[in-house]
Amino acid sequence: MLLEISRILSPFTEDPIVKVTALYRIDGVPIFAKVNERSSRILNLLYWLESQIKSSLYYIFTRELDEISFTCYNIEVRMLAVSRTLVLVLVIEADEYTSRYKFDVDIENVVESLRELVEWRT
Amino acid sequence: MENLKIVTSPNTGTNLIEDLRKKLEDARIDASTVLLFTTTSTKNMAKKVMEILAEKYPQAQMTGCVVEGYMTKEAVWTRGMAALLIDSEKISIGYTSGQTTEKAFSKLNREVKAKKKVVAFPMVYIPDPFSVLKLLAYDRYYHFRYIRAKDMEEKKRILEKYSRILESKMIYPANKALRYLDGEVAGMNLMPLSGGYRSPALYLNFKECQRCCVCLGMKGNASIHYHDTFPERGKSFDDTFEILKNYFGKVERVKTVFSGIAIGEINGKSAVDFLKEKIRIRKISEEELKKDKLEKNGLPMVSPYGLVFISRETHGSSALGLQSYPIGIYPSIFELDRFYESCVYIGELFKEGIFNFYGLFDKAKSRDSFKFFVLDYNVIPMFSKKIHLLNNYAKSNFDCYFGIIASNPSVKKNSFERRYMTEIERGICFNGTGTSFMLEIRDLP
Repeated sequence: MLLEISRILSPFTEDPIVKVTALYRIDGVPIFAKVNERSSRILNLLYWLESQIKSSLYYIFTRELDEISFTCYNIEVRMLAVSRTLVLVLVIEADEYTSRYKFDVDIENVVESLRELVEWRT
Repeated sequence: MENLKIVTSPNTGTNLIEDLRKKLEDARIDASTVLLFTTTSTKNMAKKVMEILAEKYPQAQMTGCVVEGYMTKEAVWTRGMAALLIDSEKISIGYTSGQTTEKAFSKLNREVKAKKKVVAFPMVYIPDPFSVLKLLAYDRYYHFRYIRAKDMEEKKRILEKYSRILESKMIYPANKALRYLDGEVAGMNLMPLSGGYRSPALYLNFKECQRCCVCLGMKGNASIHYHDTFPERGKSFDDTFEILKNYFGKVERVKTVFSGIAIGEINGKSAVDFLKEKIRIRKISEEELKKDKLEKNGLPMVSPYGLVFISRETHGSSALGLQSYPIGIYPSIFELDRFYESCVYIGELFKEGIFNFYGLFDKAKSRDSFKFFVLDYNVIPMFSKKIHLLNNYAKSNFDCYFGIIASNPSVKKNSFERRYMTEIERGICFNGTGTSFMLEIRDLP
């Protein structure tokens, strides 16, 4: 299962503009995490994220949101619900806008593949 | 299809190489033609990828380019790479690297005799840092002379000279390029979404080449379908102007001075000053252009604001996006000599949104033929993840296809099934946005 998750997420894990690719369980425990930049700002962000997962999922499902994202300077954190218990988190640092538009296209593929995987396992 | 395999990988780095090697092993095809499409994320790995392909298919003819994304039955990706492996004697590849549009494309026409052609060339080529400096210096010199010109004739003469420089070093105008090619031609007019030095890159015989033109000749049962997202054009300037006025939300009639591909002024101001006045955009400084934008591959090459020029010949129209570059004379991606000097300033939008692009797929004659299509890359900033709707539509209608998302394509044909708004010269369709073409091949072997 982990190998399959790693394969699905591999388009992002080696991309230099993706600082963190992580799949969290609803209780904030990471199932998969690849951190491309080991700096204190990213680690602090990850620590804070763990406590936010549950409430993010609650908002996504109760308010019918596609995702929750926020931007700080040029760092963008995107939280996307994969299932009722899983959240995909991407921390992206991109200077120019086109990379961000392109991300939207690619994220859709990855989330769809993860959803298929989860259904296949259950 | 036995004689065509599509190999894709959305990965980068070592994952991409491993993935590619494995997929090439599984492909089991003795390809005689290899078409490689890398995206901006794998541009730096193109050399390694081509080495692997050359090792596997040493006898094959090969070409390719950098695109913004690709579409297959499995998914739409804007990262990684895709390769089309084709075992067919019906495809021939020719190339040239002449300096001016006329020389380059006339030679290309002599080299490839097929009646159906797909030509790929850098419509806008951003050269190395030194050449960019030289071009900026040329711009300053000619703009200095332009603002001091005594009359309109002198202004036009200056613009004509500068236009020739732009053409020889940087721009192959999309409409002019097609004039020199015979038969039915689809043009992949390459221009990156975000520009950097030495872009866009083209690949030829497993090597990267700069500012060259490549032509794929197709024999047999192939057809080229063209589509644009606009209503039909009018029968006069005023007719077309009215149609554009109803189509675009905010339009304004403006007066321009141009020659060739150089625009000297819009309503008495330089194009960039005109844009600044309209939308209060900040001008990119020369330093920012060289250091921040071009070095990091981040120079914006598309814009939601632009000018729509109306053709004197057909009363069709073509749009040119405006950006706040640090230049005095604004370059155009198509030759303007056959257009009215009076044109329309617009803020862009597509009515019916992404669904407007379905029309291209509806033109296919059969379900089981192979389709290769090129979609205008403006769909990325305009519709982002809704592009998947297009892929779902293609998936439900076609058995085998491969699409790329690249800069707005052009098409040359003897006749078209409707009065396309984008038919700017008799038989030549092009527009700065909203165009797409599909090549349908019914008998590939």
